[in-house]
Amino acid sequence: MKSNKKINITKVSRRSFLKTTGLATGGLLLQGFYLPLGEDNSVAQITLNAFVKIGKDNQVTLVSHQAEMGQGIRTTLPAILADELDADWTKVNIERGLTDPAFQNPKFNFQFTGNAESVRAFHDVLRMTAATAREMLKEAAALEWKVSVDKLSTNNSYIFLKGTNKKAPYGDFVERANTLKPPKNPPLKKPSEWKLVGNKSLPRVDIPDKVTGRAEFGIDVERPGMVYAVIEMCPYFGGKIKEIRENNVRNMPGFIDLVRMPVANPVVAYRPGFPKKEGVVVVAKSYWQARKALDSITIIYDSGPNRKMDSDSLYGIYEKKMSGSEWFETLNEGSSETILNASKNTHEAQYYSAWQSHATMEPMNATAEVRGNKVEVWAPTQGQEMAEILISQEFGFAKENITINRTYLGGGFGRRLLADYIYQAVFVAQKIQKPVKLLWSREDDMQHDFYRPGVMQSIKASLNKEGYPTALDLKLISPSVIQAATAIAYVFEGEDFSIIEGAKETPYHFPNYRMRTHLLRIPPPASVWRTTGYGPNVFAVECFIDELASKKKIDPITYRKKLVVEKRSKTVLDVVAKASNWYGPKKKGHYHGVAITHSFESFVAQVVEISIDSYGILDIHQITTAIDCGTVLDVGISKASIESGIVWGLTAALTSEINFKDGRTAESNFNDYTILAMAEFNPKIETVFVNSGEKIGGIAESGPICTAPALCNAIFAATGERFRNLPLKKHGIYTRYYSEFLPISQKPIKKFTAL
Amino acid sequence: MIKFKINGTVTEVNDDPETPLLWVIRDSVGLKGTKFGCGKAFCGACSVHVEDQVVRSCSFPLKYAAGKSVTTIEGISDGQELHPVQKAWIEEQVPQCGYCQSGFIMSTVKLLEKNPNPSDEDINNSITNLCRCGTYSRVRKAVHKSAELIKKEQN
Repeated sequence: MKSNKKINITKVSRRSFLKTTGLATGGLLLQGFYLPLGEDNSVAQITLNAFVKIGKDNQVTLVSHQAEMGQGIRTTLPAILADELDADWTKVNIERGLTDPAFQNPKFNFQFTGNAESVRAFHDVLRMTAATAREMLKEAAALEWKVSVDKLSTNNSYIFLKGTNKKAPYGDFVERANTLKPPKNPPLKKPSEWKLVGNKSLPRVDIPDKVTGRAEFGIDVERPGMVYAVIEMCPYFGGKIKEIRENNVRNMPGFIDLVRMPVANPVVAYRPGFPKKEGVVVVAKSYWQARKALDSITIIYDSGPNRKMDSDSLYGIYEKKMSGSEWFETLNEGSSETILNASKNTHEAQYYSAWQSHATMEPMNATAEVRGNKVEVWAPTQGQEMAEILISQEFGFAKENITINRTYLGGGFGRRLLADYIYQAVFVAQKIQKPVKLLWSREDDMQHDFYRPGVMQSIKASLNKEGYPTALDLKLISPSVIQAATAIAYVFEGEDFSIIEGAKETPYHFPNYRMRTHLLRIPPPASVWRTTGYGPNVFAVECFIDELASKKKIDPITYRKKLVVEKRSKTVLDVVAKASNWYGPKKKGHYHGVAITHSFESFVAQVVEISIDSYGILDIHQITTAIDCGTVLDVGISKASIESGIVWGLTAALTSEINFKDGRTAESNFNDYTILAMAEFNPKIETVFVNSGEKIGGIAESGPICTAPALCNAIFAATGERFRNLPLKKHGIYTRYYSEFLPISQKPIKKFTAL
Repeated sequence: MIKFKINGTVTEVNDDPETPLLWVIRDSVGLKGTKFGCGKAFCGACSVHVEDQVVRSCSFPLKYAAGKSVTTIEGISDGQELHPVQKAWIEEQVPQCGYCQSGFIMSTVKLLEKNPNPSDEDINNSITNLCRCGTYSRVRKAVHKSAELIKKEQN
């Protein structure tokens, strides 16, 4: 352990004195560490462990180690700590964590925020950590007061001697506590003793600063002497810069430098055929001067070998592969092939979910400063450790010399797991030896995303007399989505654990089930996107199940209840049926659709209630969600997350879509990558939590998954038509608001004769 | 030099007159609450008030602000007490990532000055900002709540 006489606790690298031990029980307990206090009594905060610091003035500081990107985690995780620590929630400080092994997700041994992991991965860890600190404080008080520990209780950052008026703040004991050995098995509170979480709603700690403009996002970071950088990356997948005509750029106001970047979009783990992009950076005294200077340059591209690639040709590749024979067998249970071949009663359908952009409201950006062999970064990132690994790999900085400061994120949705934009800022900072803020335009952001790829499924089932499946065959075509977000040099072949989510394992049991995948290698870069594999796969499976139910005109909820395996699936179906008035009388012209999922360890059922006219103009009246995430910790934040998920799911189902043309991305801003507007979204939202008490599951990614299939199933209920290719815009189905803005040539035509 | 008032204070900046007001506010004046979202006036994250109008400052050249009064998210409250719209935003727990919310709030403040009792349709017609987190239901509720709070404060 390094000793540091002038300790400024926020600057001390925790890496040097934090250790984590995985216990044989599977739990993770933080070892105590013994920070020398030295002679300098200005130390206000004493670090009890990676997550808890307490000052002698009784100021409790809790470390929030997961990125706050809208999901409310800066409130919920510290609340878990405060709850178990018995800290006074109204007085705690919340501090951001740096990159540290103590903050690694124990499932992945990797520090990141995503995959709806924060609560389900860290709830137990945080409880154990806070309980350890609490027991150490009690033990210190017991020694000080010369009483036994069981005579003591804790509340609101104070220790009480039971049966007396004696009490003292935690701060009085923290120094002594810090010298004690942490207990091995500190007692944890029972859920009934939780005060801050567990079916409760806390006001979010980040909201006051988000309504006054004070919240600091990546784009807001300023450093002394900072300059501004903008970049143009080759827009053609596989293309190259042929020529740069500088024109008058060096005389443009504020111009500082022009930097060429051979690879502007590095990842840690390259797949074969990954289109590396060249970049040209202009550095200037202000952002706008940099932008204008870059605009003054003419860059001539060689559009490369994929110049003819467009959405249609790509779709053609999916279809060709679907009828081809190159498959990786994910699963083959029972004798699906034999049964399907022999059956006279089969049903088959093909689905496609389009390419999508993350389109976070805050465009990619990072600020970097290189001082000698050290680099410091300020960035809105979900992937602090990924950034550290990439920077270390690409520039050779030792990991202990890399500091990644995380700001608030103006949206993440998976995009910010990657570190391409951080790499760019470091590259420029190193080159020009000045602190630099590099900021993408919206066009950069949309054209140079790592997209949620298009995904195609073909499903075939044989049915028994009652209309239930006897065998199933599912074929899945998708580029790898986890490859670009992989932090070790590993190339996925055949199967990628993310693309099979929601298809390999469904809420149903099919005794004869064969599933095959084809991992497509096509030019556009892909990565994880809110819902990961579940989004496209649950769309396909839940629409298909609905089709099977409708063949025998069996009620879709009844049909599903007969097929699901787990009681928790049945329960969420029952709860959503009741809350949506599924079986009750419907308003004239109103139709319901349902879908379910078991994803991110949560069980979700959702019902969408719509009406649609014969021109395909859609009104969404109500969206009802039943979710069993084990125990809902914060009802308010979780409800907001489900609402958010619904808008996310509807946007992709209805309107947003990334296309390709002439070897590059066609869309470039919100005029062509259309996302749902407020005027298009005014349904009643009902969200019911089923607290089964089972292991805690994720919320943030579960919200959107059922929305597209439930919507399409509702449209079928209304029109008798199945739409298997998203977004629905392609079929001329629009929200009322959207339809009003269509040019005359695209005015909706009468399409549903049944209505 | 171009002179204008920002949040009540007269300020002078040296930027090119064609510079979008957004970058002047953020980088020259140093107020970071106004955000850059799309640069083409599609999303509204950069909404500020110029005199009596909501403008999308990413597409509003500095020269048009000369001699005018500009208000940003930092200027709608007096520093002591939040603006009723901000209070309503907290009460309804609207923001998620929060990046677009300054823009929504600025649009709402102006809407309510002109129409103290907006219907859902009025809200849809006048607040066309985009939010990728999908806070729309809460924004709508908070606009109604703001209208209530403003009335209460006036009485």
